[in-house]
Amino acid sequence: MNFIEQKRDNVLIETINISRATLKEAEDFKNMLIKAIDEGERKIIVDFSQCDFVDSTFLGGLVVSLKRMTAVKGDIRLVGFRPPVRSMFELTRMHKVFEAFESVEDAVNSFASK
Amino acid sequence: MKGFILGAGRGKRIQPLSNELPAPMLPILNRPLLLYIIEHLKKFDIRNIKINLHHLPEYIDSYFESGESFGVEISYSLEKNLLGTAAALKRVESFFDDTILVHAGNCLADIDLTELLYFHKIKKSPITLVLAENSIKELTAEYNVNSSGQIIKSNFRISKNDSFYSTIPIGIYMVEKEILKLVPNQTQFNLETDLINLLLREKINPYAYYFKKDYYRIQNPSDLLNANIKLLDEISLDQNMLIHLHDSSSIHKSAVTSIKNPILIGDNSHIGKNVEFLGQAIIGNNVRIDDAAVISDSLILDDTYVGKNIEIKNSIIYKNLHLSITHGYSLYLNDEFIISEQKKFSPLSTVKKIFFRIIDFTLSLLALILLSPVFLIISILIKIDSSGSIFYHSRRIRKPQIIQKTEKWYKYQPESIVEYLKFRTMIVDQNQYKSSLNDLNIYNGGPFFKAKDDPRITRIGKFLRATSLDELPLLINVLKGDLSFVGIWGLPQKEANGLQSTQIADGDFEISETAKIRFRGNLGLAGYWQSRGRSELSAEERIVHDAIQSLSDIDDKILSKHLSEYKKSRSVKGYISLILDTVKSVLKKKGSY
Repeated sequence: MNFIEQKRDNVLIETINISRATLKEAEDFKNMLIKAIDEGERKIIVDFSQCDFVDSTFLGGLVVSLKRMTAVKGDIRLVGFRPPVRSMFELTRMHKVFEAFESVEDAVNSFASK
Repeated sequence: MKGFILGAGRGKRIQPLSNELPAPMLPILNRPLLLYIIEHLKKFDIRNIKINLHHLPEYIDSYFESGESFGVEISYSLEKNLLGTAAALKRVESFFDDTILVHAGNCLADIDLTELLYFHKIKKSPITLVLAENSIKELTAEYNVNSSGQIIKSNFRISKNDSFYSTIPIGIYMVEKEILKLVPNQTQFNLETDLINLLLREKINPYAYYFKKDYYRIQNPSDLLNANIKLLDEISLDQNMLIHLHDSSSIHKSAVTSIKNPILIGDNSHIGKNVEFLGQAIIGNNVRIDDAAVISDSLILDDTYVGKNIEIKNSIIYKNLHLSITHGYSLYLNDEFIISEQKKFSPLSTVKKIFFRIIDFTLSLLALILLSPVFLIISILIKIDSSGSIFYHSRRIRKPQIIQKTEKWYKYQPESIVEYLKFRTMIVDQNQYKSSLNDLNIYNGGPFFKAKDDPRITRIGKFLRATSLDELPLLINVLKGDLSFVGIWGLPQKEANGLQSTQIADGDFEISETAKIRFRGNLGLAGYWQSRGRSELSAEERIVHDAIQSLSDIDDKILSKHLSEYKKSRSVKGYISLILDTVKSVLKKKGSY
C-alpha cells in the first residue's frame, strides 16, 4: 500500500508509505485527495514521516488538491517532514502555502475548533 | 527543560538586510547571532531545542542541521503564517514536557538561566518575562509589578518620547506548558501581550524577572553595527590585540599602518594596498577591499567586493547592498566598480558551464543543418498562407524589472529580455480580436495565457502550433546562446507581470512566492514542465515545476546540498534525458495548441 488512510476526530490522515514520492505515485495520490474532498472531507492531514523525497509532480498534485480544498473552506495540513522534504518545501517557498506540523497530534489539535 | 527559539520573523525593521538573510543569521563578529544563543542554552544544559522558522528558513536549518555538530539536538517548526510567539509555541505543544525556555532569535544576553529557572519555579509562575530597563523609544511595555515580582497589570503603548524610561521584555521567557491550553488555535497571539493579558483576566498572575546587565536586541541595522563594534572592543581589550586576522586572509602592509582601532577580518578576505582604516571595522568571509578604499566604523558582511578609492563610513555592506547608518538609507548598487557581490570562483562550475554551452551549440547546429529542408518548406508555406514575415519575434522576460522603494531603502533591477524567434502563426493585424481573447484563456484567468481556438491563428499556423514546429527557430536562439536547451520556458511580458504583481491567490490559497522563483533560473526549451504535458497541467503545477527547475539551475551552496536529486538534471545524462523527455512529450502532441 502506497498510502495508508485513517480517521481521527473527524480528520482524515493520509500517510505516504513510500520513501520516494514521485511522478509514478503522483496521479493516484492527487486523485485520492480530490476524491476525498469531493466526498466531503474538509480536514485532511498528509503524513510525510516515511518519506525522504518528493518530486515536482507529486508536489504539484498536492498543490492542486490544496487549491480545491481551500475553495470549499477546508485545509490540507502536512506532518512529519524529514530534512530533505522540509528543504524542498522551504526552498520552493511552499512552506508559505501549506500549514505544516511536526506531529500528527499537533496537526489534529490545530484542527480543533478552539 | 527544552528550549524554543523564535527564528521565524520577517525582520521588518532590519530591512533590507533581512531581505537577504534571516535576522538570527546576521553576523556578530562573523558568527551568526543564533550560534551565540544556542551556545548559551547549551551552557545551561538546554540541549533539546526547537527553532521556529518562516522567513528564509533554509539559511538557518542548513547551518545548524540536526545540531549534532554543535553538541545539541535541534528540530524545526515551519510556520505558514506568522501568528505571534504564543501561537508559534502552541503549534508545537506536543514537543515540550513541562517548563519551556523561550528565546528570541534576535536577542543576545548573558543571562543566568539557572537563576531564572529557580525564580520561575519558586514563584510557581505560569510564565516569567525577563524585563530590562528600556531607553528605546518604540514599543514600551508597562507592567505593574508588585514587590514579589508578580505582574499585576500590563499596559502596552508606543512611545516616541526619547526620555521615556520603562521596562521592556527582552525576548526571554520561562513558560509552563500547561498555560498553552489557554492559547487559541490558529489565531494571532503573542506571549508578552495577549497571553499576559489573558492570564491577568483569569487571575493567574505571571511574573517579571529583572535583568540588569547589558544585552543586545538586534532590531535594526544600527543595533547590528553597534553590537559588533562594542563586542569587538571587548575582545580586543581582553586579548590586548588590535588586528584579528584569520589565517587564510591577508592585509597589505601599507594598509596596516593606518590601523589605530580594532579590526576583525574573517576567512579568505583580502585587504588591498593603501586601504585606510579610520575607525573600527568588522570584515566577514570572502571579502575583497580594493586599493586605497577608506573604511571607518563599518560592518562588511560575507561575499562583498569594495572598489578602489571607495569610502565607507558608519555603514553595513552586504554584497551589493549599502546601508548607511548615518543617513538611515540603503541602496542596492549594480556597479561592480563600487560595491558588488564578490563571486566565488569555482573552476568546476565554470568548466560545467562551458561544457553545457558546447553541448547546446553542437546540438543546435546539428539540428539546424538536419532540419534545414523543413525550415525551407515551412517558410514557403507561411508566405503563401498569409501576408507578413516568416519569423515572429516574441519578447520574453529573462529577469523582470524590480523597483522597490520604501522610505529607507531603494532597490532597482533592470529588466532583461530575450527575443524568441518563432515561425509566424498569426495574422499580422490583430486589433479586431483583442477584447474577446480573455474568454478563451485555458488557464481561466490568472497570470498565464493560452487559448485553445484563437481566431488570430492562420491555417498553417494552426498546424505549426499543433506540432510545435512553430518553435523550431528557437534553435537559432540556442545557437546564439540566448537560451539553453534545458531551462525555464520564457514568459511574455504580460504573463511575467502577472506573476510579479497579482497574487496568485484564490481565497486562502496563495502561491505567489513560489511563482516568482522562476525568474532566478535560466531560460531554456526543455524542462520539467515542458516534458510533463505543458498545457495539460494547471497553473499551480506549472509554478511548482518551474520553481524546482529554476532552483536546480542556480549555483549555490545551500541549494546544491538540498536539491542534489534535482541537480542531476545538470549532469550530462540528466540534461540529455530532459531534452529527450521534452521532445517525446512534444511528439505526443501533449498540451500544445
